[in-house]
Amino acid sequence: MPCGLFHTVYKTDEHIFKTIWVKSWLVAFGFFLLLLPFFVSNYVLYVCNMISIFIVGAIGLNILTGFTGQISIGHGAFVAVGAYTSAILTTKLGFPFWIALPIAGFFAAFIGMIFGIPSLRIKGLYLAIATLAAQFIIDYAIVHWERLTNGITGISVPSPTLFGFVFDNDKKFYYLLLGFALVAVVSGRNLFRTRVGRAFIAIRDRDISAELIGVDIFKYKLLAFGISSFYAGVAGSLWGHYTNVITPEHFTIVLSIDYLAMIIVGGLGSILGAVFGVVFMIIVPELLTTVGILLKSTFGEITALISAIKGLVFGVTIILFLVFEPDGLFEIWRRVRDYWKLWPFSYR
Amino acid sequence: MMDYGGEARRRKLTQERRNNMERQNRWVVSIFLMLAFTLFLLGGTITYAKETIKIGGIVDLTGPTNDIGVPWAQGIADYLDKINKEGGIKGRLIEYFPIDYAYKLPQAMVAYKRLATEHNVIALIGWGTGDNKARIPLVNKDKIPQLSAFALDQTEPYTPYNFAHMISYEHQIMGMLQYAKDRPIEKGRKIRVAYVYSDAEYGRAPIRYLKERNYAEKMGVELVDEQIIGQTATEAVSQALTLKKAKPDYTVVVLTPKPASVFIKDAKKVGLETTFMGFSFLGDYSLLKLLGEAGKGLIVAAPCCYGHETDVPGIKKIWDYNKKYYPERKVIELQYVYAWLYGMIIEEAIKRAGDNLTGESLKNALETFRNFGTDGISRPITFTSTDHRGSYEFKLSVANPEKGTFESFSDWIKVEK
Repeated sequence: MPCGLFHTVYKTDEHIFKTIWVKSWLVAFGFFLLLLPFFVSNYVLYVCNMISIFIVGAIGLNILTGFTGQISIGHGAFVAVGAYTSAILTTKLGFPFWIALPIAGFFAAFIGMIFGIPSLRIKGLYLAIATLAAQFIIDYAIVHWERLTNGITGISVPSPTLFGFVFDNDKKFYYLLLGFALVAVVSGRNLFRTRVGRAFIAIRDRDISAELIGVDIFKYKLLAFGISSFYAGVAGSLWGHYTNVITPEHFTIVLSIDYLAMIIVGGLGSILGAVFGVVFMIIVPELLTTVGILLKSTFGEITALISAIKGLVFGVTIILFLVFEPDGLFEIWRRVRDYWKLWPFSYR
Repeated sequence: MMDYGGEARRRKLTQERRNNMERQNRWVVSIFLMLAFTLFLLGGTITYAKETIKIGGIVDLTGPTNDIGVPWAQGIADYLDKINKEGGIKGRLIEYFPIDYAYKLPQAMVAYKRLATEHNVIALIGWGTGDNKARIPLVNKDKIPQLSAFALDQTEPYTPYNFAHMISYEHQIMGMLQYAKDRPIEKGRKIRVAYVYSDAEYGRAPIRYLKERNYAEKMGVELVDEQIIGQTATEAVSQALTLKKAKPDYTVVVLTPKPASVFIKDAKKVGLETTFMGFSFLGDYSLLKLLGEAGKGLIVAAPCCYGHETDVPGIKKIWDYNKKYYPERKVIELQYVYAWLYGMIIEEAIKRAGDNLTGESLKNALETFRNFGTDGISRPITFTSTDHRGSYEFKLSVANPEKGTFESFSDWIKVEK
């Protein structure tokens, strides 16, 4: 019996799920996700749904920042573009959700590509500042273009329907969003097995060499911005239709930074890392709130203190991650998995 | 010759590898511990005491409005605590779950889901205008009455599960304009007023309402300018300068204390001469500390009594409680008093709702309030099945920077619906 994975042809090396065990665990996990709504409360489902939506957006950002190496602090704004496009199309023009969603994605991609144009000339910190401009310009437009966006009041967005079936509660939405998250993960993972994905990675690793071997830098950088913003737009549209209300308050720079933190904590340049990052960044604050409520019933007047230190704990956790595990949660996951892979007969 | 150095290096490497293994083991163990801890926590929340009345609060302790959000949160927590210390309502204790949402809509939504489905609260205390509005369809569906800190605005006159005891911001401004109109500066000239308001929903909504109806013109005053100040602004010189050119006699300020202090200071700096009239959330002692001398002459709408007016029986009760349990507290903020009022309303509603206590019965009980007396803290409160604004009356008070308080100088002013 082989005590490791030995590939004899390139084709098997390219497989995403390499062993029968990985596949069976995946099937088990799939069943777990499908059955989850029957055992948990709406609150847990709401958290799961937020995770699904953020996964779509975070994978988008990871394609741009993690895989192509273009830092973006404007991701939240592209999410906003998607959310508002979809909301305006469904409320003012009466489009069904299923048509508004792809249009929202493509429109966000278009706007993202416009703001991606400077990336040809500038990179690194300078590009970060240029994308920051996107954040502020789009934010400003949403707040002040009141005839279209209702300004600070926001728009109330209808729930999606499919042949008379209304997605109006957390459980129904859970499956819808799970599907979208799955599509995002699968398409994101497969993107990097194609010519386009490899071109992205080449640009990240050394753009000059990439150009020398024939990668059209301008085209692929713009494409990266476009694909990333498409994901963002879809995430925004989903968010709007799920919460039924969108206001500019949600799409500030804080959201962009949250997204960046998610992919950094999870692991830059890894689809699974983006998923881990989202799960971590959404669940930790919720756990801290739970701790606050529990301590409150035991110690009384402590809520204010807990909410004050909540931000602190969160920040410290992120710093610890950056110091001790710069490759993110994905790296921890990889190590734990490798440990168990050969268990109990691992080499010592 | 044996290569001792090589051997030693090899040993060292093996040792290192072993250490790495152990480190990985430690990771595995710590992840399991974390999981176990999580499960323990979840278990803890589920197996709670049974006979309590559960009330949720979505409060701002760390966000941009926490200057007034913290005393508010204290007020409601203290009143519910007072009920428990006095033995509960008909023997049932109150279990209160306050959640800080830092004035962020998504956090407010997740907090609501937690309170509604995890803790099964039967009533909700809300804070921000924006998130309260976003929750209206949810509370109607889940049948959880929500008592909003913000005053209900005219655009949404009645929604079954939304309540507020306070006169709405629009009505406060209407009352203030009426007051201004009655005090002409020069004969034959219309009074000039300006609106200065926050870019957050609490500021925009009432001004939008008044502008849509041309209220100032109908009142016979002249609206000369309006300025928007960011909720987290650190300076407002440009707004103050434009305002100075417009020469308003009265300036209506719909800002919470932090941005208001920034604006009023900058206005005094550029030499704007006007009488500032603030909406009810400006009646905050901390604002006077921030303003110092610049606060002189500031008029503020007050829907209830201030914490220093100890001759009012209701206020005296607040002090009795605080002297007993929090002797270190020297001031009671206006927001604390507002929140205390909600405590009184909830207590009365629970008493009226009877034994079958649900969100729906609580709502029906609230709708039986007719001139419910609040020991003089505010005007009597009335909720009907078509109007959930508790009151249409307020007082005007003027800032007294030397004492650091506000002095009421008008009687209760009643604004037409």
